[in-house]
Amino acid sequence: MFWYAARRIAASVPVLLLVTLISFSMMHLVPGDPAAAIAGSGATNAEIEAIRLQLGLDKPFLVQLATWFGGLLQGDLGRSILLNRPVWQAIVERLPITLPLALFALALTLLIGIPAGVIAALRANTWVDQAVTGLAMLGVSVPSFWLALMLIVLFGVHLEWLPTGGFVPFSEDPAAWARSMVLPSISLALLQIGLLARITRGTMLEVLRQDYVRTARAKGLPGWMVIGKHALKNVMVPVVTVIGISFGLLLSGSIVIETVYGMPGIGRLIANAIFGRDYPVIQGGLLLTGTILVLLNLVVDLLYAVIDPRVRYGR
Amino acid sequence: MSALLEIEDLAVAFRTERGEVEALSGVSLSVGDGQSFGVVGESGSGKSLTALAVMGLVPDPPGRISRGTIRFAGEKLDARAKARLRGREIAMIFQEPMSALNPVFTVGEQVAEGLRVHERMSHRAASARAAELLGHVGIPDPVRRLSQYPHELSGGMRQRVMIAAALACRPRLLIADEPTTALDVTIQAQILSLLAELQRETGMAVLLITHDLGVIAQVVKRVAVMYAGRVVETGPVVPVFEAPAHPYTRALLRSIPALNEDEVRLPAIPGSVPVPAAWPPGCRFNPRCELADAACTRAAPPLIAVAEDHHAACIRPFAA
Amino acid sequence: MAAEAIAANGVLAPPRRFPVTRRLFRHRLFVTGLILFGSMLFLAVAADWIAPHNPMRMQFRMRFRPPGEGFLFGTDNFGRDIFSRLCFGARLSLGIGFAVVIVNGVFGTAIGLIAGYFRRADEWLMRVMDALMAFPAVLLALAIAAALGPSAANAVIALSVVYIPRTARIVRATVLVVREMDYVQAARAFGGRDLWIIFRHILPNSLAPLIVQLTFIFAYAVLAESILSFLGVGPPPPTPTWGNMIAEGKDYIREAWWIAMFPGLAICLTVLGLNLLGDGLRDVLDPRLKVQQG
Repeated sequence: MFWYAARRIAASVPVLLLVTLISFSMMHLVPGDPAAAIAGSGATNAEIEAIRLQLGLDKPFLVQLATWFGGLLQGDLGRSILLNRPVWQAIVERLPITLPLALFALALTLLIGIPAGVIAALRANTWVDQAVTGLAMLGVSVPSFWLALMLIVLFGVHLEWLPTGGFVPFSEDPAAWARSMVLPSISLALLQIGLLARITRGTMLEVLRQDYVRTARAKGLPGWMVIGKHALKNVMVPVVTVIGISFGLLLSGSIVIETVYGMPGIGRLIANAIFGRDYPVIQGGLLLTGTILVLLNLVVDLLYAVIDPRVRYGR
Repeated sequence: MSALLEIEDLAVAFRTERGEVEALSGVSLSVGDGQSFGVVGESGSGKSLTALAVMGLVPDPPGRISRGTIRFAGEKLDARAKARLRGREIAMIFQEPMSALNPVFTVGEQVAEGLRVHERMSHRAASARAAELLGHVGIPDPVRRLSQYPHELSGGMRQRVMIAAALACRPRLLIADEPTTALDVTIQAQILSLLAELQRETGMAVLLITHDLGVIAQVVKRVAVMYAGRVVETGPVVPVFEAPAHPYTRALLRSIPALNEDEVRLPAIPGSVPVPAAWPPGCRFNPRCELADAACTRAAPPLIAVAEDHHAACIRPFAA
Repeated sequence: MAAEAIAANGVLAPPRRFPVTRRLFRHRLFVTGLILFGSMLFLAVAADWIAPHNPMRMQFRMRFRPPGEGFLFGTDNFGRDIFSRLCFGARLSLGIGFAVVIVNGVFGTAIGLIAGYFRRADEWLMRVMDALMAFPAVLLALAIAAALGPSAANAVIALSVVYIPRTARIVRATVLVVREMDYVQAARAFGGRDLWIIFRHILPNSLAPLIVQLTFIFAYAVLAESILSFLGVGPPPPTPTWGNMIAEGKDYIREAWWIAMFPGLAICLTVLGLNLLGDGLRDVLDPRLKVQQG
């Protein structure tokens, strides 16, 4: 186990370095003069020059990279141009909004996606299965921002059950905070629910065909134990991977969802940065999500080894 | 000797895109208490399906028992009774000890869980009993093995684990479906003698399913030969093997390589077992039978006595 | 064994073999997908003939007309006919999706072939692919599109880049298998040139999984392009794309829900159609492939 973990960790180091490089290079994709692009069309030469100096764009590429990387090592992601404050600080301030949203969506995904997939597999080729697979298919085909708008129309405008947007801090009014989270979490979760249900169903069907499931039945174990213990633990192996992917989708999904619902979270921060060509924030956002996902994949790989003992020895 | 397991006129049907197809048609056999009984036949003869029907493990859908009765110790078994007896009174081991063991649970867990469920043993007691069982089936250092995973064991050891798990609740009948097919020859012999030994010790009945006539001759007293979903010949092992009455049994016996002869002859039976949807009318062996004529295609021949306690389903059986 | 095999597969009759096209057309979901996607394609191709109004013509007296009354899907905040804009929007949205499939297919295949065939290139190419995969696809596409500036061509570049690792991985995996096959080894032993072996033996074998993958990428691309347009880094208005139509409708969602609803439905039906096509193709062409999503 130790050597397996060590190998996996060593393998992710070059990937992390490349993630850093790609995040940094983003600003240099801009055709022509990045400083001019950032300053906007109405900027004076002096303003452009100020930005060039602020971002160090006058220096050679490698020097800029080294400076940026040096900053990273000290936890410095640079300064936002629009907000005029450190990127790191801007992100941390918005965490209390985006984190609960992502966690709610993840909880919905797991609580609905896995059971739905399991039930569909157990009732394969019945109307239950067809309903689940149909809905799951629909779930992965609906654009989340559009779904968000339609939910606002239905539950916010017509039925008036839930707020149409905005964000209430937990400390101000916990009940209103919870209500303001309902529609965004659902909009954010639908795609992943569909994804997870599809994969759980497929894996479960595969596992149910295995000899060891028949052995468990032959031992006279009750049905819930055959499914809930012997089958489900094997199903969890690929499902864990999907949960890793899901987290990435939640992060990028929050960009549009927070925009639609007007929630001042990290997603909204990145959306504004994209609108306003605030490259330090875009770079920081890319780097942070990329790093989180690489680390998450690492955790998933290690979890694999915990769930499936064969992995520890195999690779 | 009273009958422990009695199968009468058992039929299993599968739904396919072209309608229902019978994969097992009217199988009858009877296993005495403490007896060892062999079922032999080629792939596709329905021998494993018979075992699964007894266990109540025929995959449904698409399969279902369409006819017949199964009695165990005098009790007629329905699906509910089978579920009650599984793992307690009737246990089963399978061909592939690798895939039949769950890769993500330890050996100890898989041997002990039957005890915990059926005999409500505590975790600790069940583990201790599991170690005892592992020692009993000839696994060295059983306490250490408890915490190992199936992939850490050799094929023979895995099959021993399967046997230990099956014997955990002291079943009265053990169904062994090709228990040695996936193993090396030397290991095969070890597992077979282990089974024979355990049977003597515990007095349980064994229903051994195999395509290997050598295995049958070695360990069982009575045998049923199956072909294409039917029993074609049945009786005590010695008369069936020494004076086979059904042409299929004869052909099967002839296809065993005779090692003591200078020239190894292997006259395999021409063709193969047809799939259930394509079963011929009349005697299902007729297309491959060298003695078949028009009469053989008319009606399915019933099992008739060819000698005392020896039956064959052929209209012109070889005389003993 | 045999009885279980029979029981497990439910195969009691010899399998009937049909040509691929016939099996596809017997696949109910594939046909459903074909009809859905086909109708959207028809809107795009025939936009000039079926659109009742000029999609750009603003009529301020006709603003916010609800569906019906001379405007099938109503009018938007500038009094433009939504149905007509939807048809012309299909052109750009599907066009971008298709361009992504082509660009991504060419580069993804090339990288996958090189990585799979030439061992020396494999290591670092795949590291770069891993690093690109580390970013959520939509976020990376947004960042690239934002850097390059809002236009249809830049959207195609951004989306092609982010989905290349997926295509390259699939192609590479097939190459690794095919490369070891006897006939490829034989071709090499007889001194076959690398390029010839790649085009003659390896590429044809990678085709089935590639086609399945590209169908799904078409679906992702349509979905992702709508996000780009919605956030204002896709093709800029007034040229209609489904995404920027929804963006314009967003501000009037309380009074005029139809502005945002119909283009969204069009996206749903297109993506659903493509997903069904992809599932059907996978079932028929390459049953071993698992669900590839993300």
